Amino acid sequence: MKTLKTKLEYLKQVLPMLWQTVKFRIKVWWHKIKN
Amino acid sequence: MEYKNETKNCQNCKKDFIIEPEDFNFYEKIQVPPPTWCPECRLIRRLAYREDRPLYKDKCDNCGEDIISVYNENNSFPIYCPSCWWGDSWDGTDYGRNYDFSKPFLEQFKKLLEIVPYQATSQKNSTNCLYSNGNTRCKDCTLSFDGYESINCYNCQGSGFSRDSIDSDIVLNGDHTYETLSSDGVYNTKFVYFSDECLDCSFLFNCVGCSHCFGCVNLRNQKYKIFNKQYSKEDYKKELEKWDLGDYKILQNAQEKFWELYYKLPRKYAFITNSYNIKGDDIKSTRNCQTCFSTLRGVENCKFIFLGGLLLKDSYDVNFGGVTSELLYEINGCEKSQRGFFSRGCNESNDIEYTDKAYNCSYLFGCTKLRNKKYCILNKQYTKEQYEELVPKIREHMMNMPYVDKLGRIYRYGEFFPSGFSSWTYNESWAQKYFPLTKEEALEKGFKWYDEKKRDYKITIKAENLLDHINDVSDSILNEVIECEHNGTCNEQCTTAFRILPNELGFYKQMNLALPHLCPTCRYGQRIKKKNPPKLWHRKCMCNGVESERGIYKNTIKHSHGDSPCQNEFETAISDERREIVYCEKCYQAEFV
Repeated sequence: MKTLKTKLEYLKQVLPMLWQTVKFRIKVWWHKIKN
Repeated sequence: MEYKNETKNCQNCKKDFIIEPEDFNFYEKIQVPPPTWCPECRLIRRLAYREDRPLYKDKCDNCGEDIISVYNENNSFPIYCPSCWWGDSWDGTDYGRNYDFSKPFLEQFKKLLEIVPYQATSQKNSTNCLYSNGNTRCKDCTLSFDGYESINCYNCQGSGFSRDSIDSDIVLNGDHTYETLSSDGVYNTKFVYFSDECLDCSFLFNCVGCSHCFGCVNLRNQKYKIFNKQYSKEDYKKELEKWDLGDYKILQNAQEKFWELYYKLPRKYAFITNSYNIKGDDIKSTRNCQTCFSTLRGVENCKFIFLGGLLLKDSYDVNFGGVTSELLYEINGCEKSQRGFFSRGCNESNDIEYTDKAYNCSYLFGCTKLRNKKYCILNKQYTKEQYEELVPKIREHMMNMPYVDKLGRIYRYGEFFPSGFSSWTYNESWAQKYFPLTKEEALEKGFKWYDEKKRDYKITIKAENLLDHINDVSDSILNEVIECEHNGTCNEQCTTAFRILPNELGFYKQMNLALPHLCPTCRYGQRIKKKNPPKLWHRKCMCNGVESERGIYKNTIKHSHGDSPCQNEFETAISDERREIVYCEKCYQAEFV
């Protein structure tokens, strides 16, 4: 149970980081199109 | 038990330091005695155990192949290439020995350190990463260190999810970055420091969400600004033509003008974002942490952390640690570990003490270079019962018969390894980056020193004779050995000469950047100086009411304290000897956000 909780907490921290990377890639792609 | 503040005298620097009640509670929780060294001396002692560069040419002591190693030739221990080290031809327990109660523990541990093979460079799941160390899941990176999921980076340190970058440190989500430091989500940036989510920008300091900006400081969500002055899109393009960074002289001028502006504007006392109850600098998404530096994402209830992140909890005195770790104390480099004390380089391990490099281990005491082991003391395998019986006896023995170094410093149970045990000398280690010492000072303090061998490069061109504009540079530059402008006179482990790599030249041409005049190591040394040291000074806000102290900056808005000087005090990593104008959070927000 504790391991699962730790893993969930880890995902809670890691997923926003991954989302940030995806967001950044989309932002760069859009920026390249616009300019 | 109720504790009170206790003042102690540092065994090393002989200065007084305070141990607070919460510290005593932590030491009681993990059942270790309180420290006898002050926090700064403890940090330096741990930093002396970490090195990324320089790299040395060597031969694998197992297969005899030519390798690149982080250990210099003066070390006597065997060094294996990564594939031999991870191979099954040897096992750490082959070197196991019985515990001898007639000798101090650390003396026996030192003997063990001298015979067990070291890994030349450590890279995890990385491909085609030459002259690099500490990378995880990286590809085509050269001279890159501690990178994570990065592609095609050159001379970068600690870059994560980045690609096509040169000379960038601690950059997350970077793409086409050059000379960028501590930034997140940056694309096509040159000379950008402590800025997030900026695109097509050059020379920025502490900017967020900016695009098409040049030479700007403290901006939020701005476009088309040059030296903090607003331009229209057309005027910006016209004005920018004057700042052709492909020309070395113009680049130097732009740099000078940018730093001039930086020193004229106030700076916030610390970089702290999305965090609360914090004392430290360069902190993101952290809570309840005191005297912490460069921490990010889920660091909680910690103290004296330097470079930690991703769920590091309830830990004290940790460098380079985190990733779901907790209850660490006096640790240098630890991932996914619990209850680790006085150890270095331990991954996915728990209940380890006085251990140097362990992977997927538990219940180790005084072990080195072990993988997938349990219940070992001095690399010797014991049963659970034998281990549990022997460890308390060793702890007691360490208290009764401590190790004493040449300077008379006593290492009982509860102290990290003595600095003399490090495989690196002071000038090779991270300690020199943040707490520089001269050779004499380092030797006096009991550290080792590496006298660099005289390099015998056949210089074909001096840096000052390089062509000024990148457009004039032909591919023949790839054959030249360029003399570094510092020529070994600096304190930055100068390699005295360097070459331009084909990818690097392509990058400079694509980004329109003049050729560098310094070797990669000096460039790194210069960049790291822009980071604050992991040290705090108690200071007062420099806002005097309508202007800053010494009248350098005139406030643009009335602050909450009116025309009288701001009385706010804070702990900052910017010492009072530095030129920067340092404002408290309130005054800074009033001016810039």
